[in-house]
Amino acid sequence: MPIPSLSGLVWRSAWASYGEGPYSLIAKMIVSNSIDISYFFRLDYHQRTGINLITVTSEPPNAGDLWRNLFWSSSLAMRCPTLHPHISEYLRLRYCPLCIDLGFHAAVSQISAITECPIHQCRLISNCKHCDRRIGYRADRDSIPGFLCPKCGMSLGLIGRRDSLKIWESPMHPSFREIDAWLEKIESELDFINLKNWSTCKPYDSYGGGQQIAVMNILQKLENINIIGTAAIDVLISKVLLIDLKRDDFEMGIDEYIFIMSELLPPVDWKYYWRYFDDLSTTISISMYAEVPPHVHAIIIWRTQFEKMTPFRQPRGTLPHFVPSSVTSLMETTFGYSRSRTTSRFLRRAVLHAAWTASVRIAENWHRLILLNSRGIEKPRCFWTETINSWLPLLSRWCGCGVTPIGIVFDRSESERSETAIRFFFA
Amino acid sequence: MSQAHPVMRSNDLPSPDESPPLPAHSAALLIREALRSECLYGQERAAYLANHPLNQRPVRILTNSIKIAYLCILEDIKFKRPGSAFAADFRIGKSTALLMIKQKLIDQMPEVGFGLISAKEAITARVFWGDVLIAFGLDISGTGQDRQNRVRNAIITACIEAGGKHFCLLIDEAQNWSETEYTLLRDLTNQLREQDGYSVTTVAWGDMRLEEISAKFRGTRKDLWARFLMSLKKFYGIRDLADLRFFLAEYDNPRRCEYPSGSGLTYSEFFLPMAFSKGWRLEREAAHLWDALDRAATKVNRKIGETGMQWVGEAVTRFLTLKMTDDSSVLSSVPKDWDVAVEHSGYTSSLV
Repeated sequence: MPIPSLSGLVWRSAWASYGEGPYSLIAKMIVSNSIDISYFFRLDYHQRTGINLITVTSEPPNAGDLWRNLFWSSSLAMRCPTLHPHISEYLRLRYCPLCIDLGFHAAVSQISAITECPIHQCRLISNCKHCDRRIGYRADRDSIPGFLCPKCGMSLGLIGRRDSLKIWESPMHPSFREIDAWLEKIESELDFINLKNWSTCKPYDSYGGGQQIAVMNILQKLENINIIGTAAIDVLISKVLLIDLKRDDFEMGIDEYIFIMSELLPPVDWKYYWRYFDDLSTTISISMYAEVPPHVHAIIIWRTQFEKMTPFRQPRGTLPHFVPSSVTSLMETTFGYSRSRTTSRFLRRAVLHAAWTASVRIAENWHRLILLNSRGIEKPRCFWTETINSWLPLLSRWCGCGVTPIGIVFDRSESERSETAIRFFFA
Repeated sequence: MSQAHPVMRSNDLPSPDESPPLPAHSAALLIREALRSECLYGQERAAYLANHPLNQRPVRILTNSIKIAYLCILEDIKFKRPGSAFAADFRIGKSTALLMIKQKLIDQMPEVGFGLISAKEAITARVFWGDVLIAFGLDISGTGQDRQNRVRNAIITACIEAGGKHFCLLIDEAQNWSETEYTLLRDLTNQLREQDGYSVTTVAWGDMRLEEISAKFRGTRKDLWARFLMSLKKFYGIRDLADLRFFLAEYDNPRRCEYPSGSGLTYSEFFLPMAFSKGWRLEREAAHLWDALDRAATKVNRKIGETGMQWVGEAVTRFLTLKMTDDSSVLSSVPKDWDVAVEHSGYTSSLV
């Protein structure tokens, strides 16, 4: 038997199994070839100091680049090109300790909605099992080398050992095909809500905030336009500043955006936010399909506010006036940012960001409470697809219970897309 | 007037000249005959001729010596001996023989990992491991230690893929390595055996300088000698008429010398099909060729001895090409035909 290799690297095809993600594939390459992690930085010239393992490369590699193609085809971005920014955990590695012992990490473990290993039904963890430090989901010098914890240096599993070459025949589990089918279904569902055609829905970039960046860039153009007023605010700016604002790839027109902003900012105090949202939400369209995860839901909420996907019901006689201090209380977040440096530009960014964070929080609470409620009714499902499939009946059960609604659901089981109001509990 | 059944259309009716389907083996025979006809008499004959294995390099024809060496190596691997060595004179066809042996070993022993490297003088350990990696088709990035680890992992991986615990490393031009390189190789095989549980058989394959290295190691480095060069054997070319007859018989054998694949045409038949069909065989030309070689050696006051594959192979190809125009059912060769072929092969120059 000749020496098995892949584009100049020691490699057995049996070491890559269906559903395996780039994290363990790269680790295997590192161990089996005694190479440094920087070897793989050539994967993508835009990522010189590390590799974003969700996307791996910013564009698909050439067919001849075998190991680049191996990593690319294993990534979550390849499995769900549109959806992955909204459903995946970018920062932390989420892994099943039993899978890692076998040198296997599933790409779909990074999907936030999946909390249990599809193979072993044990809870996914994000920290080192020796020192409890959080481990990043990124291939750089701090995160990967040999699957070692960056703090304590202990191996996460057997993958780091030399004799592990023999046990790297990763498990083949039918769940992964189901999950891929599920992802494909969601991707096609996105066509239904037209997410792909939204003007600011850019491909995810290496900074981890493609959508936000697009909107923020519009704000750059609004530098001298006073929409909100001059109220002082000291919220969320530090978070906003983390986002690279230098890109210039937006498509939304300024006039349109001004209109959206005026629609966004209601003339009420934000302590009544939920109630106001109640009014708004009667015209927000959300896919009824229960498979849509909370982050997609959050995107929809956010986008409907910012992009006028459906017309808002705005109370008559109100003026576009905003009480910004309520944003702080809404988010329950206070940042020690100097008031003297606060400008209207920062304010606008902060408002946008706050609205985004609120959208995420709404959706997450919604999802969390659904799951909490499900535990009272029946035992938690072991298999993640069952949990997700249980969303819809649970939501229906709450319909008409007097809780705060945030959306209207298209009932696609009917021949025509008639709108049916369902009240979702989230507070 | 008869009417067709309403459901049955005229297209459904079997045509009178439509024959029943052929059995699979008959169809294969028809295809084979068509291929033979195209190669021998068709318009594509010139293209087939240009791509004929005898017109490519290296020409891979089994010899008696290759067979013997193969059987020796096979036994060494079976008994997991640490190493064996073969030395041969120049232009005997060592490298081609080693390639043929490797291919045969891979087919014969799927549970063993194989690697073939061409030895080069290495200045440092890093360069040495880099040469090995290049021979294995692997990346050479990293330090010397990284490279060594990669070689080690490559060997382990090949064994895992093969499903065994044994690796055979074939070293061509082994005379280029000195004490340093053999010591590095020894350390690697020790590591593989003691730490990883894999055994390695090395087959050193070089020219006559390998004998000198073996003798030197025997005096100064017994450890290296005993491991790599103790059982040094001679690899021969064509030594006598029997060897030559064996060699020429291969040209008539469709099992290993068939071109194009699936045609059943032997190498000799491809060039001289009419003669071949009437029972002529290249094997029977062995005495003529041997005499021609003898005459050529005598011309330069030498005696025919061991002959390299380079000259014999060239002479055979030349003979077949020259006789193509005379191909007939009553082909007969005269000594002059072989004299011309041997002269063109450059054999005489090699003796001077």
